[in-house]
Amino acid sequence: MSDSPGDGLLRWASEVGSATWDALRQAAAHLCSSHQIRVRPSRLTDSLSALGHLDIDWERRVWSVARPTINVVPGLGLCTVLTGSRTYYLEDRYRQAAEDNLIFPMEFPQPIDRYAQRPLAPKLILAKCASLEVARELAQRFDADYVEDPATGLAAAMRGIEEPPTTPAAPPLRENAWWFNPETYDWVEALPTFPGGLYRQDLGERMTHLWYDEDRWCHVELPEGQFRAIEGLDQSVFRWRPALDNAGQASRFEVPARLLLPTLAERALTVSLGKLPTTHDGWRRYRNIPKTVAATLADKLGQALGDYE
Amino acid sequence: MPLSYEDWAERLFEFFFDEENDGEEILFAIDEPTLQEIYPEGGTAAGSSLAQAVASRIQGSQWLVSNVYLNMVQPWERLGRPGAHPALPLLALTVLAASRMQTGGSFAANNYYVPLRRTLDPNDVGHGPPGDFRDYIEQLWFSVEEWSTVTLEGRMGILRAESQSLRYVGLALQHAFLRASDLRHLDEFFRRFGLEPGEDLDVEPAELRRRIRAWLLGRNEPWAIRLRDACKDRQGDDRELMSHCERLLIREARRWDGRPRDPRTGRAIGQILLVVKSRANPQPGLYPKWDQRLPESQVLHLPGADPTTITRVEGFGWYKPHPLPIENLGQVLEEGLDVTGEPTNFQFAEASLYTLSYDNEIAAWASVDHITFGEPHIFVVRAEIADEVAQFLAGQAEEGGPAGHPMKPLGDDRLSDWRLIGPSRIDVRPTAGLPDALAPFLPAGRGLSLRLLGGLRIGERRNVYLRGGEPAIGLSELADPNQPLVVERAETDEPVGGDLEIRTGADEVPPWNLEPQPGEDEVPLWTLKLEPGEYIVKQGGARAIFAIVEGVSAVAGPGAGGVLTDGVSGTIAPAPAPAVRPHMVVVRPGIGSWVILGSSPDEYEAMKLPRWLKEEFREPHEPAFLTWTEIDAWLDFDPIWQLFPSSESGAGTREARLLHPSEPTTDGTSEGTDWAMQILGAELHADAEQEEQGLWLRYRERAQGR
Repeated sequence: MSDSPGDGLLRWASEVGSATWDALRQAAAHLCSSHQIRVRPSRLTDSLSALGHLDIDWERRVWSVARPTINVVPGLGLCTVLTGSRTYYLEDRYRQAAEDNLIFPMEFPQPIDRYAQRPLAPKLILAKCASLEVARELAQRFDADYVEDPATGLAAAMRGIEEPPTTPAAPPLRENAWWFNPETYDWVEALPTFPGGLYRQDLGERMTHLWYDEDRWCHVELPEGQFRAIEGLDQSVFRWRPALDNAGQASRFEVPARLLLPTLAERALTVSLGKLPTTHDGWRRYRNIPKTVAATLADKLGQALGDYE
Repeated sequence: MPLSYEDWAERLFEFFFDEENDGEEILFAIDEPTLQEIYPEGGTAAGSSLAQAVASRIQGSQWLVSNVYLNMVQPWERLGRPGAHPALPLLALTVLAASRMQTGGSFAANNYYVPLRRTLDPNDVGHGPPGDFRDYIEQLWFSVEEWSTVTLEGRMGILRAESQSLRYVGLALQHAFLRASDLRHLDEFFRRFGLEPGEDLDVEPAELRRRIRAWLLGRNEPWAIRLRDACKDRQGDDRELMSHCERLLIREARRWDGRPRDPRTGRAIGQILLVVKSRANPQPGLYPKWDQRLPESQVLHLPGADPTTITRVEGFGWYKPHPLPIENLGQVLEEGLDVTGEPTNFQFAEASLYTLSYDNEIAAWASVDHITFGEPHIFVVRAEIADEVAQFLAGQAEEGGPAGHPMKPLGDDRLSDWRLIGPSRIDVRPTAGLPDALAPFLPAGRGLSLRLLGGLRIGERRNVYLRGGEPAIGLSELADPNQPLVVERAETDEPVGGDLEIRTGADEVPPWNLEPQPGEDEVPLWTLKLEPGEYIVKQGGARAIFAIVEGVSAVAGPGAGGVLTDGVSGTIAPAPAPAVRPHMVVVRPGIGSWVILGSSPDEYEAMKLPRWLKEEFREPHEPAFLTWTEIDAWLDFDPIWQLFPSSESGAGTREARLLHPSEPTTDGTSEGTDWAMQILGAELHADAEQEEQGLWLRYRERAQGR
């Protein structure tokens, strides 16, 4: 399987360990050029974060690659998912560690990116293990961490929206401010009266997001702001369906494509299959999601978990 | 009150000799503006004050330079050379005279003595060398050089006394043929050609001089004309000036750190930046910027305004008040602004294009010296180049991204010749077609030598790249364009990768000959798919070396796991008390479902084999291959029994198998539960031992409510 730009970026990030956001962006931009892809380099970096390979501190504009981890995921039939660092030598050791009759290594490309028209993100590396013990030993053999049911842990660690934002912000200039319409998810020009809710401060192609409530402006992350804005509205934004054995389909969790999820929610959902979501009819679809994980995420984001109609 | 000769000596010493010049040559550039900086109280009379002070020591127009040497310098030397050198004011006057020579004319001696005489005494109508000038002037220069080199050990800079062919005159001319303010424009040149602060510049001085001259061709600003003239090829008596010019240019290149400095003294200069508060109603202003080299508070002498005290906004990188009270903003944008300050001078550098990025500290767009990839910028541009710049920026838009880059006039009548473009964003280093005005802001295109651009650089060395992350080669302006670019394996005495172990691929690989296309500024190397090893790139005499490696880290580079997302690094975020845990259970061939029972009636789980996985994890056009003999069951209870249907359809009697022996814990209310129904509808497998049979019997009794 040929390397995607995301594979190159993950290998570079793994070798470097940690650095500034600018350095990561430039590496991503280089890979977009060398792969002749015209997409925002942030599409690459976002995918690495969503897949649990690296963490980005947006405030300090730094990042670090995560420790290599063998994830045993419920519903994947002992097909372990490798996340975190992937240096050349680490991948070499992983391959050696997987040379065992009780381990069957596999690699699969990520879904095709709709802008690049080819997979962008790092490939999925799996190892089907004969038992939990074999999976644990595989991790030990190449000095990786071992974790069972990562999605439940990530969903539990995710910050909910019950606490209001606290970081104060200056009011935006009305000419730069756009209000998030919670009914349509559209951004509309701010009214002079500044109704409460989520605002986008449009600095050209860089956005900052603000929450306005009771005459107080605060900084807010976009996903948190969106879910805060739609909280209490009579709409079903999460839907879950169990696996359909007859149809050979995994369980599904779907969210409107225009609503973003907090990073840890995104990570909890992608690690459940090791793949980025796909988009169908305006909904982003994640698969092999335990109902308990779906319910936890919905609850933390102030939503009920709906069924498919 | 005019300054005395001794006062002038002290002030000149303080102004030019500074630890910032440690080990460097001093450009003793004396002209009228410099004298006013040294003696601000004197204003425009600073030059005549100096002349008056010098005249008092050399008997006026009798020009007895011997008085300074014999009566001042020699006694001072005998005292151990304390304080300022007594010859500094006289030498300053000789340089001032040289600065008044006809611009663009020959520097021959016969052009020098008239201005020299008239600088001291405007009424002097004489010609030729005055008094005993030629008998002593060299000794004075040599004495100053020895003092700066030996007594001060070069720690505050070295004032050279090299005249060579231009004896007597060349000593002063070498400091006067170029204005100090002209040298600040080299900043644009260094940025344009991608010089990095601290870079070990491997370039011939003459090539650098010629390249700067070529860069200035076609530019008509007064500074550009002077600098171009200074950089021209010279013959005969003027050759020494050419060498001196080259030394100065190399010095400036080597100590360039991207921040403005006074080329005479090496001291920091503060920056004044262009700021636009609102894009909807763009009214530009000038803001003084603080950096760590500058004091927290100081005074600026702005043209046409009272002295203005500026104070740093606590914790921020800006001074207040802002904007500065500047009346003729249009003129300032075109011509720049030098502001005398106490203690630091400030400058605003003129340009035909200003790049601004959003600064959170002042919630406004402020001019910057480089474009950050991926960040939005706006551009304040001269109207005549606005279309070209807007067109280029539109071409940088990503596919599917916004293509339009609105252009509008500035909301200020004084700036009718300027336009505002953007915001727009450049994601990737452009490889060609970059407008000249944008070039200083993007490290792209040709440089002074072959340069390694982009790529996936790793490790501590500057030129080690990850396999698959080969850099591009930025071509050299100085190389012969007809020469091909050659890339070949290298064996260097000192390995490029330092201590890194570089695995090499095939030993014998032919050199690659790459033909740069016309108009191309850089050549990407990633198409070569280079094997690990050390490489050298050559084009004529220019060369660059680099290494390709598979990797340098065993598990991850330094700092891995150091950044957290909501307290989590990667995927390890253990739930405080995991509710479900995995257990291994058996899978029967041809049977896709089963039931797991625990010891109490609420411990029941119907499970299915994840057949969808067989489709998910298979190669295209290949049969499914995933099979299981055992699989993980995720349960919130300890499993005791596994019940298999006798057929795939699930019909018929189930067969029970013991997983872990444990007594039932029901209290007799299990009747009718799924748990009880499953037990009562199942039979223990035929091979069960007596103990297992006994346990199964007790479970059946509980299922019946007994």
